[in-house]
Amino acid sequence: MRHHPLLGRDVFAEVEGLARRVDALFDASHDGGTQTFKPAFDVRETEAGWRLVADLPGVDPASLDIHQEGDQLVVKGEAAALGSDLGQVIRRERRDGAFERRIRFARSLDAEGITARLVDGVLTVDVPRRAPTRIPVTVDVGA
Amino acid sequence: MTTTPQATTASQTSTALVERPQPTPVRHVVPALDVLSREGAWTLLVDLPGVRPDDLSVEVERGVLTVQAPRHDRPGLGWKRRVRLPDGIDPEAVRAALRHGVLTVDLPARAEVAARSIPVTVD
Repeated sequence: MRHHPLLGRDVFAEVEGLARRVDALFDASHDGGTQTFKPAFDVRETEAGWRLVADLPGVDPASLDIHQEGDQLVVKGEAAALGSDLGQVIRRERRDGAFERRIRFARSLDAEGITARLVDGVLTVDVPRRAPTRIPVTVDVGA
Repeated sequence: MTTTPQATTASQTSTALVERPQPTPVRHVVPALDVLSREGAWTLLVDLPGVRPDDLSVEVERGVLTVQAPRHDRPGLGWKRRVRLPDGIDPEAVRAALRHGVLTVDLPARAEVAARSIPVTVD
């Protein structure tokens, strides 16, 4: 392994960086010629519905597009290419550019109630459970 | 945000341990890092999602830059990365800024190093 003077022996980081590159190979999908990546989401069931959390460092809230398509929640956006004009790239582990993630739900979503916030590079999406539709039952007396 | 390129001394650390209750142990994860170089100066980009600027620590000690911060959104988890600085960096001039969960660290070249890099033409 080459020891860069700036980085020294950071074996764990090397492995981490390699893992990310391998992930990127599998995650990369072609969407109209543009490469996008799939950020990792944690999904937790809450009392009100589901909470989705993803690390999205470098993502401008204005670039986020969250919408419903049938039984899927679609989260799209763009992580800014911060290093593009800062000089020669010596090491590159961070992911930037467009991303897209689709999360399928077993039940149809209540798109009206979905809320999302992006704080310090962490996206939290709350998806409320749709209240079950009550079907009135009529009983014919004496039937 | 401006860093103080002074490491905490051993005595300060021990005082802090006596005076403050033991903090929750934090498991540190190595954040992703980009390194860029231009004319003897360097820029580091570090992904630090879930970090408040007030909780972030950026220190330079004996030529090693350490970035460390707990995550406010995931108790017990934090980020930590150590980077050995190349020669010719002015540790007093290191500047860091956190925006949208990404830390940018500017490492300017020492004045005399920058001066040496100016090309000289001889007739």
